[in-house]
Amino acid sequence: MSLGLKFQCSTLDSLKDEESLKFIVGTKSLRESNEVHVLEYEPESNRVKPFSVYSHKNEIWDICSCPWSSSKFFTVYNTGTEFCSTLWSTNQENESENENKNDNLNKKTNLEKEEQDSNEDEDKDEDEDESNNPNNGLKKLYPLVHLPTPEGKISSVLFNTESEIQDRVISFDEKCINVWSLEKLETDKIATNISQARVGRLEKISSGGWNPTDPNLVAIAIESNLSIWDLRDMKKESFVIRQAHEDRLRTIAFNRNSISQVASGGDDCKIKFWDLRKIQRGLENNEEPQDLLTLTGHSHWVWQLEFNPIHDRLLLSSSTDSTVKLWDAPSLAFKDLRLEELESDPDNDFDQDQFEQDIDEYEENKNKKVTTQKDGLLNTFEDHDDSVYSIAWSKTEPWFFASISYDGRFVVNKVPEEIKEKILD
Amino acid sequence: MSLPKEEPELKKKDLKKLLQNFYGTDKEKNKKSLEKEIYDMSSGQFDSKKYFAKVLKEQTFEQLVRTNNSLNSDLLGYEKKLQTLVYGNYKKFLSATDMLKEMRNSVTNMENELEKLSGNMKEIKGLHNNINKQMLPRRNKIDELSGVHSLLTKLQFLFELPRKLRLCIKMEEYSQGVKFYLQASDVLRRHSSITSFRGILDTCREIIEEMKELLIKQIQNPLIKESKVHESIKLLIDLGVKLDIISIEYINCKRAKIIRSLNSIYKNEILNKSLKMLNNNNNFVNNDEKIIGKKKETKGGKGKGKGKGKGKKQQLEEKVNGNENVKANIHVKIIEPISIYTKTFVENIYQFLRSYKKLFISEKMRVLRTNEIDKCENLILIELENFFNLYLYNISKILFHKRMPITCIKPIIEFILKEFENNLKMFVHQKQFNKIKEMLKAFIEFHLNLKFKEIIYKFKKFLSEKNTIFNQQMIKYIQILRKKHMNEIEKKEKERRKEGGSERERGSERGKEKEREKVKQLERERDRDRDREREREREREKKTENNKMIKKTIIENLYNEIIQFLFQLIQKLAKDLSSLYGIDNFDELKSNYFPFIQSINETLSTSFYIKFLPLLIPLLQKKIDYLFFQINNTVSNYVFKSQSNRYQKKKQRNKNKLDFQINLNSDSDSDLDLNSGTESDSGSELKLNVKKTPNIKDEEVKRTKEKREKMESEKTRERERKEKKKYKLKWKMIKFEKIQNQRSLNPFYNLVLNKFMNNLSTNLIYKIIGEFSWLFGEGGFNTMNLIISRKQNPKNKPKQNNKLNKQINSLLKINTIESLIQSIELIEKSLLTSFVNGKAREIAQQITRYIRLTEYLQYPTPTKVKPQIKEIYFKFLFTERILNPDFPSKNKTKKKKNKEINSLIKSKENLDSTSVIASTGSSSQNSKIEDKYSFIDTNIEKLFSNKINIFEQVKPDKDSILSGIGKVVLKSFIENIRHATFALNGVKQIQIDSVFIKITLNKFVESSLITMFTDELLSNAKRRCLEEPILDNKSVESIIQNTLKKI
Repeated sequence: MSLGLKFQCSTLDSLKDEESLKFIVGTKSLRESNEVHVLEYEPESNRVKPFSVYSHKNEIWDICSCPWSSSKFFTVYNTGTEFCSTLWSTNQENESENENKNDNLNKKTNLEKEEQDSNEDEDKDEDEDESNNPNNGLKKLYPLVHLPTPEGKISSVLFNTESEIQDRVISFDEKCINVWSLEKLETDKIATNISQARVGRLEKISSGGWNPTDPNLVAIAIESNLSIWDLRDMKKESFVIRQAHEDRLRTIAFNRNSISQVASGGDDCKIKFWDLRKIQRGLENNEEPQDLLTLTGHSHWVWQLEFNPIHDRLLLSSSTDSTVKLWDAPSLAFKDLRLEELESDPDNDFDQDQFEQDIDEYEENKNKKVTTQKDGLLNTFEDHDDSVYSIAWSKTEPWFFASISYDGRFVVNKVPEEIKEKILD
Repeated sequence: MSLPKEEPELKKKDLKKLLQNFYGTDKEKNKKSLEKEIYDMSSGQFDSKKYFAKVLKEQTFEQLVRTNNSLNSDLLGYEKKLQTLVYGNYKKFLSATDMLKEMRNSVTNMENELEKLSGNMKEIKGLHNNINKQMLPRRNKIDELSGVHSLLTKLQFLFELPRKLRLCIKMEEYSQGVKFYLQASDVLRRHSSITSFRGILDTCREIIEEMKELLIKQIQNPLIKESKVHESIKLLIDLGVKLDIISIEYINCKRAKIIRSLNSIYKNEILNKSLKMLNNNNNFVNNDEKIIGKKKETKGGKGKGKGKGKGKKQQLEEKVNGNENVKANIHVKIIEPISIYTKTFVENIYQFLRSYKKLFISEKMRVLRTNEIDKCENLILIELENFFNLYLYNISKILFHKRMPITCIKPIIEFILKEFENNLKMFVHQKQFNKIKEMLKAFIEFHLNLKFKEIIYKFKKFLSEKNTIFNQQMIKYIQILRKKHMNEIEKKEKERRKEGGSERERGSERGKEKEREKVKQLERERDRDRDREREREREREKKTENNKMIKKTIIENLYNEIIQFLFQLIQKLAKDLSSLYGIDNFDELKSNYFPFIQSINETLSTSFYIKFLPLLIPLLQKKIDYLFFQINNTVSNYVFKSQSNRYQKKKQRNKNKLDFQINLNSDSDSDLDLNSGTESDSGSELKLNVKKTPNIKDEEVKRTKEKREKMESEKTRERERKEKKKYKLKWKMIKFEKIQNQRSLNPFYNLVLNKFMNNLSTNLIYKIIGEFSWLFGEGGFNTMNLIISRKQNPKNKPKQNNKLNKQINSLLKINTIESLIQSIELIEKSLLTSFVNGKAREIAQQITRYIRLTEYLQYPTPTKVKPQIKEIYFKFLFTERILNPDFPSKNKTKKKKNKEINSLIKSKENLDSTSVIASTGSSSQNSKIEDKYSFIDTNIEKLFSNKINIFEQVKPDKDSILSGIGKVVLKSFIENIRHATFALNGVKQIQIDSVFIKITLNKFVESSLITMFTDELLSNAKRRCLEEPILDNKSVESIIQNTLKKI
């Protein structure tokens, strides 16, 4: 289930792969040369084994795999003086065929090659290999696209997983939200900036999220505020939830199945769910924004949240209290939202009272549902001894997820069977 | 021609055959069936010829003969049947024709007679008409004459009316008079335009007025029979007198009667006697108490006379028991006359109401005189209330007799309620009835409150007495001490004088040469003096210790007395309460019980607590807890037993009802006795407990448990039969065990339980928490209160508040004590953790801001401890100060010492810390590989050591709270450092900061944790440094010492 990496780590992602459960991990060591590990999990034998290792010069702060290709991924890295982010490919051919994108045949051949390579590696005892010849055992990564130098730290780079625009990427640095095109390259593998949004002078972006269902919607965290931006109008944010958390906001996660649902976690050890549409409407009427649900249980900062890609009632959270928690929010799952029906009725003239009544009803219904199926903690995974900075659901088998802690321990866990049965019922 | 015709037919047939052959042919079957039908005689398609031919062909001769014979016989049978049918029908026909002939003949006869009749009738008509014509004129005359006659008689009646009425009045036959008047008055009124008639009317009216007065007088006269009164009232109503006026008169009349009967209670001999008995008895009890009090006083004076009191005590207890028996008899004696009294009262009222209703509030009248009837109803209601008030007043006069036990009141009032419910419900409106009920209930409560007040008054009095005694004793004691002290001083002075004198003598005898030696001697003597002084000091210390001991014994004795007294009071009260309210009124009991406890607490906390507190703190904290437990236990004990009573009742319900009632009474009596027995045991043991060790408490618990277990075993069989009720009993049992286990727990829980049971509002709970925080001691619910109030501030987010309220609300709904305690603990925990989290977050936010805003990559060489880090220390100091009043630390003295030592040994500690730094620094200065290994080593150590749960639950004491805050703060510090990058100077700054934290926070947080965290902090910072960090320990040391001096 678990595997110890040599260096400290703070980020991982799951790779898109048809056949096996693969995760990609970047190490974070300032002075040594770093590595990118592709790890494979075998559910039958319940083992994690290294699939391949690539050398990466600088410490990796964030990693984001391409949702369409298992051989491409973004890393955000720190050279010591500044932050950069680059799209890498694991094989050289891809670089030359960069312009002919999404060539499935190529990928397959690549995969096969990789497998062959890895098979060769597996024959040897890998740990020894890595420790004895750190440079020889590592493969090379080939840079495809660089994102131009940002202002301050880059918190993350994101693909939009659901939309059809495959060449767009968003990056969040401390001052700006940047939208990049990977197709139109400027000279020397540098991506072109399509649009840029700038936050206020005293504000700093600490993290962000991109709505997968509505690619124009972006949420960013500025201190304890959650501000929502529309990419079509980058001059000003569309609205802000002030004091969304009592302390700094750390992470934002969009629900893939619901258009306007967002979960956020912060230094106040809480996880909150928001309905952005409802809040927007409320703000127009000068109402205080109310969260849909607050989950408490972590005893230190909540570092990352991930909705399960299929069963959106399941939410994973990682925290610096060295636990990973699995939450269940059946009341907020996509099907239960009656507001959707309400708002999709365009013929109705908007009636404030009616709306409020409806909301009340909705609230009541919600409460009823809550009583039947409780929102709350399902399970706590205490496999780690140090802060857990990153988690990811597997893209191939959504009942599995991986987590990595600062001391380099990589753990794959599974949603417990009872819970699985309960959800499938 | 035929051939061509046949051919197609043939062809057709052939085709059909072919098809039939091919498809398996329905027609063949049809044919077969047809053939069968043809040869079947009973079918419709029977062909006689074919049948005949077939029979001829197929059958032998014999068969033919047989068939012939059978056919013949069949034919014969059919013919016979035909004949019988025809014959029967023919007979009927014949008889019918005969009947018709007769009918015809009779009809012709009738016609002739009818014709005759009609002729006769015509003749009669003619005659009748003739007679009428002749009689008409005479008849009219007769009519006129008769009308005149009747008029004349009427007139005569009218003129004679006044005379007749007067006659009626004389004869006292008012009813006839009223009849006459009513008959005549209409006519008179109609013709009042005629003067003579008017005259008659006026006189009549005058007379009638007289009659009315007479009738009213009759009503007012209490000596006149009831039936006559009723008659006269009816007459008055007929005469059109307003109902309310009559009713007032009637009520006045009746009122006197009822009041007379009500007041008769004071003349009741039995009652008076029993009341006298009560008085005497109570005097007796009073004497007892006085004796007890005296004994206690004597004990207090002696201080050590423990053994002697025991025998006397037992005697006293026996006496008290005897008194109780006498009391029980008296109760019966009091109850009987009161019940008779109430019965008569109820009967009176019943009769009164019935007659009143008949007279005034009848349905017929309602149509005509609704307003008046309403008035009447109001009148009667008011009157009824008055009656009840008077009744209650009278009863209460008796019941509020100085020492009337509560046990007496309950059955009386129950009886009254029953009586009312059975008899009076019919006549009184529901509202009114409820009013009366409420009055009765209020009466009970009032009485109870009086009792409570009495007890509290007693308690206060007792306390004040004790207080004066205590003060006197203390004064005496102090005087003795002073005397002793003075004596000692005098002695010392004398000694000194003697010594001084001797020295001078010596000095004068010897010369100047030996002055040096003298000096030496003097020095020696001084040394000796010092030794002596030391010895004296020791003696003083011993004496003071002795004095302390004496003080303690005095205080303990006093305390014991107070506790005993309280217990006696409470035991009595609990007994009375339990007998007053059965299980059905458990809530009421609680609601009544709660204010009592509150007031006792008040008296305790005001008079008792303030005066004795500085002396009694240690005792109080241990034992008041026990006291409240005991109170709770006694009450719940009663409840429990009364419930067991229920079972017995149910068992006996199968028997006769009369038996059942008797059993009921006997049961309750026996149970009471049982209770008193156990209680007296516990009480005596308590007395022992107070003087001896707390182990005896446990023994007592065992005993009581054993008793209960016996009880249980007896009841288990019953329980099995009544599974439905089983869980309730179980619940109770668990509750008791739980309470017993909870003895070591804070009394706060017991108290809070009471409050929760009474379903108080949340505000009240807060109040209570505040009120009893002094009892709670270590738990420091004051801080909880603070936190709650903080949470209620609108500045903070209201969501939390809602949650808290929800939690508390959910608490209020919880019934079982276990879950209640659990949830209280949960709330406590959550409050504490939220407090800790809030504080930690407050400090951590500052750190994050500080780290994020400083540019560590271009950092100048550090010279100071960062002010933000200093502030952490101050914040900790501040929080400690906040916590101090609510969480007095157990080892205060140690801490103080520690502080002092801290200040002294700071420099040493610094050295230690720097050495630690040096060791870590040296390792870092070594090669990369070693650093790696050390990292791995630490990892391995982490793996094998127990996982330190950094964020474990916070306990409610100051140390754990502070260390909890510290942990979170340091953890966030580390996290912040992990996400920053440093240049060399930045790491140095962090080093300085971490050493500073290590030294300053050592007071608040566990030292092992602090070292662990600070080490990790430094190592993390080093790892996040771009260059190889080289640490300068000396400069760090100097900087830190400078800052510490400033602080």
